[in-house]
Amino acid sequence: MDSSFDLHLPEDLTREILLRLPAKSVAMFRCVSTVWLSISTDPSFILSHARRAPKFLLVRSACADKYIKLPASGLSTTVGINKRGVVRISDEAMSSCDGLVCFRGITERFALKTYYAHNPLSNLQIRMPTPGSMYTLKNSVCELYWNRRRGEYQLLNISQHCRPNYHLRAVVLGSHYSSWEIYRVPFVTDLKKQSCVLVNDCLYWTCRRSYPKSIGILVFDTLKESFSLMQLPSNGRKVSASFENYGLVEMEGELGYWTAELCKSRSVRVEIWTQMSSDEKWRNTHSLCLAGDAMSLFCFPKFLFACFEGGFVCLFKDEGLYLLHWDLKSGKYYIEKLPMTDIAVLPPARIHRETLVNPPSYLSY
Amino acid sequence: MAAVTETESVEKKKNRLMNSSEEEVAVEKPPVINPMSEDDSAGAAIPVGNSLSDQVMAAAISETGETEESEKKNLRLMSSDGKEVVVEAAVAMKSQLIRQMIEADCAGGSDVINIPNVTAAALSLIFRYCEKHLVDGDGDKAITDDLKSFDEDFISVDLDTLYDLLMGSNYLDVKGLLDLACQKVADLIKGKSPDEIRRIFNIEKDFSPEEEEEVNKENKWAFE
Repeated sequence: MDSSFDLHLPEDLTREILLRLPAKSVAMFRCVSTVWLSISTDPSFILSHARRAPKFLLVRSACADKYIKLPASGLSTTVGINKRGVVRISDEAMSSCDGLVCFRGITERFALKTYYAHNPLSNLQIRMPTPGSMYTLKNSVCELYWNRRRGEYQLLNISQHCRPNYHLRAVVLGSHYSSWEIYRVPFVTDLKKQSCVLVNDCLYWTCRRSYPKSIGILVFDTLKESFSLMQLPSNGRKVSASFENYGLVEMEGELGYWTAELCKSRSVRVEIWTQMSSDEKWRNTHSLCLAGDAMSLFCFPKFLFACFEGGFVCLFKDEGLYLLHWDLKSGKYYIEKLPMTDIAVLPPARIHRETLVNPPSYLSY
Repeated sequence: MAAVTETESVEKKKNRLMNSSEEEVAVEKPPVINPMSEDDSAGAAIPVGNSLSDQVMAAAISETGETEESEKKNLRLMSSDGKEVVVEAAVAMKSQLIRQMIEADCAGGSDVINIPNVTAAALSLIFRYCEKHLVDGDGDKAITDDLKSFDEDFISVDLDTLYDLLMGSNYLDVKGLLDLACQKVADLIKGKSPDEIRRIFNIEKDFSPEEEEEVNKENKWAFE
């Protein structure tokens, strides 16, 4: 471009343009002028920018210390993890929110299992205090989310320390180790811990109850800080013994529930129900019938359903790694095989964005 | 509608909306409010008066109703460079600023609305966008695809026109066009260096050497 704008852009238009740039470009342009610096480091700008950033799947590579980014379309790329003395990273306890990734690792120095939160882009990282006894860390997953009431990021750890009840432990990111708060789950359930989904300030897990024998949804309202149980859609409750062929997903501001079952006609039927709020009924919104070669992939049910970019992506593994792209509007789908061979065991994938959000500075440990 | 002769710099195809400024737009009979209209804004009876606001509101309502007597009311706008632009009310109301002015009856006594920040050329371009986007096309793939390709061609302009569209759509509050223009500028500057940014936007580097060093150190990762 050889020409230029003759007049200056007002600040609000500069902000609108910066909101539409990728995180790296915004950070690069911070040195343009003091006005651009103040706009791009304003906390509310950073949050708005984070919420607008495009989503992709993040999977941790099993044999190398890197993340693999899987966009809805296009090639995968790798992002390095800043290890800083972390020897082993737990794959189960990994969570991503607004571009911050949280994982559980073991350090060389202390041989302690600790939580880390970092932004893979800027590689700024903090270490989080452990929530009590070692047992709680062994069988737990972590979930990072934005607590709207407090205006801060919170890290959750749900575990079954004192059987039969689960305990939910929550701490504000960057705060002192003694500030883990404990909530006792008042229902006796068996939680599918990895199924946690955050929609409209509520956290949802699928769970099984023994008496009466049923599958339901455990809800934690982060604003009211209370638990409740929710029913599944009535015609979505027939699930096989396998624990994997149903789950929850966040779908553009609504809670979604999906099931995948093998039909008599040797095809796989995937159904999705959505619900806007807990007062509403479930609506069966989408349905897909996968036949032929696609069906064999579902025989090894290790998948993650994620909804982004107006479509639905399911990641599952047979001899390789596959992405099912399902355009929800048109109903068309295609299966893409990913050229990755370094995934020995399928780690959980997370929805991730590239943002300017940094972990808050660590106050004290 | 006669093609305009006054604005020389704008191509003829963009003048579709503009009447000759000498033509008087005569309203032959008072617009009839169709009681069967499905438009929500026609819920309460709106008195048919002679003020600009009433006429435009009535015309806007009757347009969505199915009466055969609906009259397309035109608005006259005075641009920053002293030229008058005439445009259909429904098209102009895509601008939230104009809509609010009409609803609050800010036109005052005269029938001409002053738009002191936007040139006539930019106005006609903006209204061309508004006219194309009058149809909502929600869910209809053919319409949304057509709108999308229109938008792509529409925003592929030189930097001066892009600036005018940006400032104009911001002032007139035309959300879709503002979004389109901002995204276009973002796409243009995405891969550039900070020096090029300063040149394009005419910005002075106003950091002290210490401040500059600190900013570069903190954002070093962006340059890798």
